[in-house]
Amino acid sequence: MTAGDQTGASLARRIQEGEREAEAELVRRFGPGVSAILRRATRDATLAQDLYQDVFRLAIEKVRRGELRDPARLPGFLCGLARNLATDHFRGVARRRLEPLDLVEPPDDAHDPLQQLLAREQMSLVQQVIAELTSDRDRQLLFRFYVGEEDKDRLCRDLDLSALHFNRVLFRARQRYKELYERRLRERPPVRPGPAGGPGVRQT
Amino acid sequence: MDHRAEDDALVEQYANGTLRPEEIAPFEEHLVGCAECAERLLWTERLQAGLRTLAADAAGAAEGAERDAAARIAPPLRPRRAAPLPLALAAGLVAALGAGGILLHDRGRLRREVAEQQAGSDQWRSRYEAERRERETAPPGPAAPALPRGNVPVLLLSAVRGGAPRHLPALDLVPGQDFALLSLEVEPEVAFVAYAARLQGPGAREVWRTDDLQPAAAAVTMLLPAELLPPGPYAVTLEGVRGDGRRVPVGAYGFLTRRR
Repeated sequence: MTAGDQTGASLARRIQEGEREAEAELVRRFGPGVSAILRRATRDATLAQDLYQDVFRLAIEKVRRGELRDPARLPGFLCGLARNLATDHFRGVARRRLEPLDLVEPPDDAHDPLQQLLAREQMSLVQQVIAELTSDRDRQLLFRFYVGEEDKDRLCRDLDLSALHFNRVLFRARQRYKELYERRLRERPPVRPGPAGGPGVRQT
Repeated sequence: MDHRAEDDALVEQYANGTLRPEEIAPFEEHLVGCAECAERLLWTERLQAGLRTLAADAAGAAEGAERDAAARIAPPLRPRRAAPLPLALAAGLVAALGAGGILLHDRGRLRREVAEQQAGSDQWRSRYEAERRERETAPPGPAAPALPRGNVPVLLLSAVRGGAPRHLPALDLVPGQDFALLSLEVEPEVAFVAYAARLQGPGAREVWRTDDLQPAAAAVTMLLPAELLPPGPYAVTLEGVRGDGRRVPVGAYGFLTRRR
């Protein structure tokens, strides 16, 4: 049994014994991974949040009732539960009357000023990341991989890159984005939604 | 799973949707139990979302600047081995960021690419017109026997609800696949005698339109040549056609094509 398996088995045992702190630890430890799977499965942040609550509610209920067949495989159980709930949600979605809609344009946040503000901040961070890259080829790599969703091997051939260089560019871009984002959070207070219909306001 | 350089690549591929199908389940099981990979994935997704937002914003600005030239570009009638859309778009996006000399250099390159595409497109338009006139004047011959086709990719689409989707369904085309089938979910309406569809590609360029789609099993279908679908985002606008000819908007369907 690996260390991870021991953690899962230990947590399951403590939850079954009624320890509330163990339930909170379950969410802390496995929440980010479950959230990632749900984001991927639903492509909808709000839905993913709703299903996230359901995953842990159901998981804790099952563990309490001793229905977890293999406590050592708690992460696998949570993974399967998340996938199944996402699948069940889409199977159960009722047909709604189609509404006339505009063409698929770039995301239109005209009715959500907060989202517009957040998007602008996001863009300025990404612009800085892009501007700090030393070559046009690296910039193209980021856009073609993350926006064009092109295959890595093909990009390496087209741009004459080694796989190592490819990985390094993505790693550095991600790390730099994270640094800039966290620095921005430290320097500026977070945005909170303003009055209905108005832009988000910064807390003072 | 031990953490090595390759695992970072797995995170990137998972975020990008390019992880092999047989690798997804084991990776997700690892992901649930690994805070490090979950955090890497979160920041990758954030960077990706930022890039997409920037791309959408810059693409809109670039399209406005190049509208006259780009508006006259029509799709070629045979596959051309030019750079796929992401390359041209990427060059234009890099230009739109305003990075000094890169701006001037890549704007010039983008203009040259647009001009080259336009010149090629004009040639194909002339050839197409000549072939069309030839077909119209030629006597009808015996119908060619229909040949069965395999490996036709099928994309099932539901109407976009509540504004633009955050992530478009993807149609993956591999070499050798000459056609793709789109199936658009509809709620059959007895008042409609047909459905009219308009397919637009990257830059809102019209790719194809028709006004005689008939629903079957709560869907209308379109079989499209792969050469009409270079990589990029697409939108289908569907209207119901009444008996009196009036058209009623039914819905919009978005998707993304990718070359594998």
